[in-house]
Amino acid sequence: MNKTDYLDYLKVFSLLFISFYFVSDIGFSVQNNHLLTYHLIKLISSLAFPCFLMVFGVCIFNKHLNWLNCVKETYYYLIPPFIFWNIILAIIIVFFNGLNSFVSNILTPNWFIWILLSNVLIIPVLNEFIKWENENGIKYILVLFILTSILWSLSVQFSFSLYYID
Amino acid sequence: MLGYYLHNNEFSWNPKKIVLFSFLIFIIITFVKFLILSQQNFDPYLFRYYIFTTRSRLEIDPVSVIQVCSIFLVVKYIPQVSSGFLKSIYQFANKKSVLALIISISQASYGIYLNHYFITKTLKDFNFPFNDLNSLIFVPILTISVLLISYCIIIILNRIPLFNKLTGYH
Repeated sequence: MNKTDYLDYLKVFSLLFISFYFVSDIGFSVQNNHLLTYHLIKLISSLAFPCFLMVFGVCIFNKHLNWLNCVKETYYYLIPPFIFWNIILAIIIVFFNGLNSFVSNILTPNWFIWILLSNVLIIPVLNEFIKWENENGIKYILVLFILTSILWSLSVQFSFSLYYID
Repeated sequence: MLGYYLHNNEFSWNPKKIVLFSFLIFIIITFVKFLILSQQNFDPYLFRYYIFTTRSRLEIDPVSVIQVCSIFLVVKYIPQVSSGFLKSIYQFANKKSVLALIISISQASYGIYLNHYFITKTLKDFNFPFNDLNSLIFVPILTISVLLISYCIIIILNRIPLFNKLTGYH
């Protein structure tokens, strides 16, 4: 095993737990006697999403590409499969649920892909910042991220959030 | 960014200490979360595993960030810790066939992420009587089956010239 093979393992474990997350919705949803197990599985398997995003970050950061090539290359890999699998998903959804559920079922489950696509847009900017500031730049952004995360959690805790749209 | 930092930064601690410490932190946080959950005091806003408002499942609360970092560090440093039980895991993971399969699944990961949803969606819509089965056995088996079916679909489609650019295998 070389130095970067652990990333492949991390990706596969993340995928396994992402799959676990969705499958547990089918297996546990109405079984109240396993409700606690269901929540424990959700609690652990939900960590797979940020884990997957972290591995994605390792793979695309600091590739010495200019911003245009960075966006072009990444979108070349991300967009065509995204469209292809969504067309298949759309056919299945329309077949089982009719046309009405099309938009809500197509757009919401893919929230993770929207995050990936938007991250790709910001990566050239962050890449330049890392090249310019090196490790201190990374630490600065991480501190900003952690502070934002704490403030965000507190704001939601005290109901200050602007995202109450449900 | 956090992944990039953890990947490129070598910590001065002994790898064995890092693995143990990270693992302990992960277990303690998970245990505390589960304890709060089991006492029906679970606060979905503080320890959230599902962001109700945006319908997203991305953990961005600081506690979960620490948990994910622990997992990342454990998997990163396990190859450097070779003793006892961990050594046997490492030897198994290092087998050529296992490594080749893991790398292949990893290359197909984006495609699997995209297509596993429609497999679970189809299973859900078929109204198969899942509730009659023992969930504790059935859910892990179904999870692995879904993953393998997704992987096989990707591998088969990847061999067809027109589809190989659309499967997400690279």
